[in-house]
Amino acid sequence: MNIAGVLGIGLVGAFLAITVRASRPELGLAVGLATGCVIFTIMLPELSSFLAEIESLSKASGVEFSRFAVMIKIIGVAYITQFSAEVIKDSGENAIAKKVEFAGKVMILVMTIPILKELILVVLSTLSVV
Amino acid sequence: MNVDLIFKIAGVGIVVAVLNQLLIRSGREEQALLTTIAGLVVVLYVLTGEIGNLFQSIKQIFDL
Repeated sequence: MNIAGVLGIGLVGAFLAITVRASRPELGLAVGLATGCVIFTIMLPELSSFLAEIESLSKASGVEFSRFAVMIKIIGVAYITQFSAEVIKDSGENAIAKKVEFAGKVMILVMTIPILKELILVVLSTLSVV
Repeated sequence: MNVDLIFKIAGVGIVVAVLNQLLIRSGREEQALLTTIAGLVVVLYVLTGEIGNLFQSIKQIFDL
């Protein structure tokens, strides 16, 4: 699917959402959610091919793949958190959206801990050598 | 691609709004409320499946 198609879907979705929201706000939110879902689903194959490229590139570079895997996971968590938070924000519940974003941040923080630990161990061993 | 999903949900929304207005005009407020709730349930039923699929494939792609 090319970019023009996605833009068209977005515009049509926004139009329909406004039309429905005027009379039934909760269904307008559902239309927005469906539009986001469709666009995300269209973009997933592209994203997956890009990630495969990154994976082969990282393997060619000789760096251990687990580092890249953590990074890719973090990008995934960020995407789905942002998707949900935007939908919730659209419905007017800014407080809940902020909490969802907070949960995403905490999950990302938890995921980075192993790498952080490794880094600190490397720094400590370097210091003890000096 | 499932662009039809958007039209389906918007269609349900418009139909529910029209039915709601008609029922309120003819003095059946409680049935209007029931129509609204039924529309919401139908839309959510369709939407949860799609969102489940989406999150499942995101999980698969990002190895979550």
